[in-house]
Amino acid sequence: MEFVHEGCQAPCSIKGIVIMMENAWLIPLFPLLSFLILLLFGKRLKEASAYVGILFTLASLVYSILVLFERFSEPTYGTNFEWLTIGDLHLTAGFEVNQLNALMLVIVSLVSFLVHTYSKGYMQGDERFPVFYAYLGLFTFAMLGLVISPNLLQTYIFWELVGVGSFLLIGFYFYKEEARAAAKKAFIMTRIGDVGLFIGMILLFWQTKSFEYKEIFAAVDAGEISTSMITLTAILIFIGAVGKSGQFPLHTWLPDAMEGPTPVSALIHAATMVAAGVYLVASLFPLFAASKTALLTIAVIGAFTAIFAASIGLVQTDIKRVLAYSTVSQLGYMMLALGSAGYVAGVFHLMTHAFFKALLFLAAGSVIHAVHTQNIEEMGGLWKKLKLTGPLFLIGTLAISGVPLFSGFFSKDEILAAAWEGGHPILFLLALIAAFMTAFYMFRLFFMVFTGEARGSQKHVHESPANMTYPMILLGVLAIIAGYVNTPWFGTFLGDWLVDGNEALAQHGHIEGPVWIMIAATVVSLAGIYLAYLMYYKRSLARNWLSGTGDTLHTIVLNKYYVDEFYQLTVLAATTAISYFLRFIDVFLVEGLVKGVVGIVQGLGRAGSKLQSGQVQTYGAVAFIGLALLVVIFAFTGGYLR
Amino acid sequence: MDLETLKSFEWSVMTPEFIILGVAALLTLLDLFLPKKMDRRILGWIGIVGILAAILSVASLLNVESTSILDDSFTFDAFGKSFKLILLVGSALVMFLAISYDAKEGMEDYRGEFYYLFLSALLGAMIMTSSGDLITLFIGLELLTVSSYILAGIRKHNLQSNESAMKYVINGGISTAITLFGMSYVYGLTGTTNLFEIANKLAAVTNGQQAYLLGLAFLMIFVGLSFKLAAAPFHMWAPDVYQGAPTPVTAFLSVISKSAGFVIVIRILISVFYNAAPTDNGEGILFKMHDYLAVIAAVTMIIGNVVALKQTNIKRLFAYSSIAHAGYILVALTTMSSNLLYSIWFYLLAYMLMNLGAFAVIQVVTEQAGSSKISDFAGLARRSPILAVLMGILLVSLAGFPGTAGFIGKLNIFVGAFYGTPHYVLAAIMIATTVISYFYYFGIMTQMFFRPASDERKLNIPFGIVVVLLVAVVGSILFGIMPNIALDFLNNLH
Amino acid sequence: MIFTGEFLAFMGLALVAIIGGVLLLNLNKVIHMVVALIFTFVAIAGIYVLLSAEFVAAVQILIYSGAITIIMLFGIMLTKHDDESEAKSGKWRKLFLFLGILGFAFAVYIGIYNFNVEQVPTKLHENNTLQIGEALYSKYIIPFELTSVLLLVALVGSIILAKNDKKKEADKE
Repeated sequence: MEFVHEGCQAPCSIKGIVIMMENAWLIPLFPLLSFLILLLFGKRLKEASAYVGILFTLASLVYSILVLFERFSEPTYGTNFEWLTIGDLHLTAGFEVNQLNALMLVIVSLVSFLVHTYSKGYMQGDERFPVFYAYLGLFTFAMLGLVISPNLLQTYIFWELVGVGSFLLIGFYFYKEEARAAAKKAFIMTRIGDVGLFIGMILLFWQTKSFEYKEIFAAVDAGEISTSMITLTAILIFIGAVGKSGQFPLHTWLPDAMEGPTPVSALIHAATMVAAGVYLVASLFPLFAASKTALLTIAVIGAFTAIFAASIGLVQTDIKRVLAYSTVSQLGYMMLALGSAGYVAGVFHLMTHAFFKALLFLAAGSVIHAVHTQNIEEMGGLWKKLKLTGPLFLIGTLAISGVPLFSGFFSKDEILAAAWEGGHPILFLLALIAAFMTAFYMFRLFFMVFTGEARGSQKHVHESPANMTYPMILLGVLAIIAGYVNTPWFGTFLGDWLVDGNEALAQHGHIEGPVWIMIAATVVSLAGIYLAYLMYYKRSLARNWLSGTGDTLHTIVLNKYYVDEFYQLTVLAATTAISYFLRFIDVFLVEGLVKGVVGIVQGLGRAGSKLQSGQVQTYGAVAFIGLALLVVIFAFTGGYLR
Repeated sequence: MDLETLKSFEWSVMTPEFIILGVAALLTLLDLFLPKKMDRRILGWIGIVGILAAILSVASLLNVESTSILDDSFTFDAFGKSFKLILLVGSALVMFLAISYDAKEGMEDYRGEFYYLFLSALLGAMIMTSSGDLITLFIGLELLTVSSYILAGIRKHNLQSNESAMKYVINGGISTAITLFGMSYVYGLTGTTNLFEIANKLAAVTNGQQAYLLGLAFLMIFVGLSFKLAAAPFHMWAPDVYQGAPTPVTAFLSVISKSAGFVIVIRILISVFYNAAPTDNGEGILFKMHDYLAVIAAVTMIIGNVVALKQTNIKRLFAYSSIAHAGYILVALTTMSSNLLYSIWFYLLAYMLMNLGAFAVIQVVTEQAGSSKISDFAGLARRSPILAVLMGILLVSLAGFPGTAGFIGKLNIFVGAFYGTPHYVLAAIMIATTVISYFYYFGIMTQMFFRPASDERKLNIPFGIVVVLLVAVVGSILFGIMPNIALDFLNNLH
Repeated sequence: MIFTGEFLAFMGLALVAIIGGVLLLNLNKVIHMVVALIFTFVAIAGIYVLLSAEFVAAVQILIYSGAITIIMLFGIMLTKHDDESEAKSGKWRKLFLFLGILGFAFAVYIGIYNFNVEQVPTKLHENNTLQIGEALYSKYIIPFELTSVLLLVALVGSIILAKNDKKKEADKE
């Protein structure tokens, strides 16, 4: 408990441990301090900037863990002060520590701390090293601030700030045209979602006269808001989550955002920011739960995104893009869970996903660091060369594929159970297919990168330094064990705790699905792995093996080869076709729509500039014609003689 | 009326105006008698001292109850006090810009005039904040306008400056004619120029024909005054004039002149038309004209934001951005919510801070580059990181980002749009156009941070600019994080 | 509508004023424009007389038709003005402007064509110079003084913009 002092003022030790939560507002402040210090002294600190960032996030992490432990025994703590008065309305600011955000605090500060550590190795030698750490600090501050906000307005403020942090970090390699474009795209696309969130928030405010979560829920409970209004606001707020969490149709920014440095992808685009959308829906869950339509919308969009992104992931060749599409797909899973009223399932998967996806990204970063390419066609045979990264990547792959005993297995199982019990058999089926695809493309990725012969030029391949591997090892451990906090076998501790003391949520606690779901999930994921094994591992093995052995085994091998061919012809052809089709929709429909809107706006702009001819007579004429128009309209409509 | 009655008025409430007038006169004389060779910047400093003294005197008068002199031709009320402070602080900042302004051509002999014309324009604007009489309001407006004409053209050997002044005069003339025509109808219907008497008389109007004429007068006055606001349909002069005028003058036009425009619009529209010719349910003309205001606000926001996307000149871009901001404030005016005054006041305050700060940066960059292309901002983060970061904060505030004063301002207006009858369409347009505004504000950001510099020279930042930037950035953040300071101040006024 | 003498006089004067304004815009020679302007000024002065504002009418004649026109003529004499190029403007703009004027006139006309103004007994005809003077120096002292500042500013402005910079000229030669 040495680190307590860092986050604790003098009376802390006297009053005892209850004071932890009272001062939880300090948690986001540490990274802010780091940001400010690096902004002011970054140039002088140079590479030492990393230690500033690491120390401050460590302080946040330790404090978050203490708060989490305290929250186990103590009730929710929150405090507010008056911040802004508009007319007769009083808006407050403050913070709150409940189960959900105590958990999120730990997840965010842990991943952030690990990414800070990892980046020290990864970003070594970059001339803007201190700037990178400053941005990381800013982002972590915003994300932690978002998590402890007790009201919608404050959430929205940090929500935007998180967007700024993401914008800066995606565009960190600003000399690359793609990075600039990606940063801009990410910012604008999420903004489109934010408009929905903002309008929904204001509408909700006018219904309840408050931004406070508690009061909103109370108003919903008391039936003060009409059901149609609840549906409308819930869906508007969900649009914000769609933008942030890369759900269809606002998902296109997320794969592009991979232009940022890989640790950033791990922090922002895997574990924290993109999960903010899911977090938002989770923290407003009682509102969503009050409207069946809203829940159904979420479930459908989530399920569709899950299968849609997974199918696109099948044909990607860029290691980070595969992971990006898998992130989109997994976020779809979480939305499906929440939409099927599986509150615990969604949050549980949010947690496990944060660990194994951060692990996968960091491991991918380690691979890229070693081979200096992101194209998986140019990799191969790295298992022997990257002795640590390989097994860690495998753990992550097993976890995300939902192989039994790994964390992803339990959370995915819970989601599938939620979808089934929630009465959405079709969505359940979609989720199951998506699980199959996930297992397939993740192992395709694994086999192509780590097995077979080395392709492309891989001369100086070496394992990453210790400060990159330690964070991965820690995440690897978590990717295995994190699932055991909520299992049908050893107790559903997390699920029970999350809904403890909250009647509205208690109905949406842990869901015990039938056993066959678990078996089906296992079978599906193993089938996916097996298929990938046959296609990307076995085939290359067979080729070598054939040349050296006799004819007796030949036919069998050939038969196996037929299986391959069969799969290739039927299953894969179908999925490839579908995935190309969906990709087509993605490119032409979604982007086309965006382009259309942009085109209209720009066309208007051009017309406006053209009218601005510089002729002063025109200006006067426009003004006068404008007046005449108003006056004439008034003469015809404006109640002459009433 | 004899001398005793004249003496009985409390003339002390006019102290701020007297100070500005006195300093302006002093500067005129000094400019005449000081040796030709002497640097005229000293006059600018005297001007700043004068404005600060006026600010102090307003501050010391804050607790004075509402007073009026000479049949309301000067009224000192909470409205006047609060807006006068914005105008004074804004003018002080503009003076700092003016002192640091060092144009390439055409300003040599006219530095003295440059400073005291700002003061006379300020005097006009101040009169507009505290008068309850149409004639006085109009004279104040003209004093502001005429001073601005000259300021816009003060670089007489610069072609663009000439063009700018010319266009400003012609459009200004048209606008004045329209405004006066509208005012003459109001006078014709009531026979008085006193706003309060007008309001009383109009509240009793039930005749439909008179109501119709009032509606016409409303439209004419509003369209005429929209020239000052740079709002549709009288916005087209703004880009050309802003581009050609010297940068401090552009800053003045976009902030002080616009604020004064809103002040007079609120004064006249609210006091004259609010209760005029009420319908059976007690709603005045203003409510009937509601849709017209909404249309004007929507068109202004759309034009300002959309056309700004196509600009390559930074000053033109800010002209369109200032049109857009006028549109946002008009939304507040349209919705007529109970927090109308507060939301407009706060928005003008925030707008004053962020826009003047941005113009300070623009002035430094354009002076050094010798042109005012947006691409001159390329690589600013390398040439002067502090300047780039401060500009970044100001742009973020202009874009209305949470944590800045610009956000609170927009939030106030937005929340107001749902007061009473909700204005969904207007609110949606406001949000959509705000999103569009991100494109061009972030375009400047991209230039500053993500583009290589074409000109690697370090920028030297004059003292005046430092002051303006400091006030602007600190204010933008302070009022963004603790907006209640401003509100408490406003609530405590009498 | 009764055709009183006052009505006829008003119509005549108003027509002259408007025609003067239109001619001012459409004539090509500067001198002709000034003459057109004089017609407008004088006609307006006539309207003031009809409204019993004799003092204003006299001032109008003295200042506008007298002083200002003379200064304009001096200005024309002392400067080059052989520029007779016609303003080019788009057909569409002309059309829209014409429609705008028609629409505006229509909207105002239906508002006032049989507008019933309350007749208020006034003492306009008695000592109206005295009345103006008293009002200016008591009730309207603030705007009156401000007007002086306004005129001063205008004066300074015209000097700045019109002054011939000797130094510049000397440099050029």
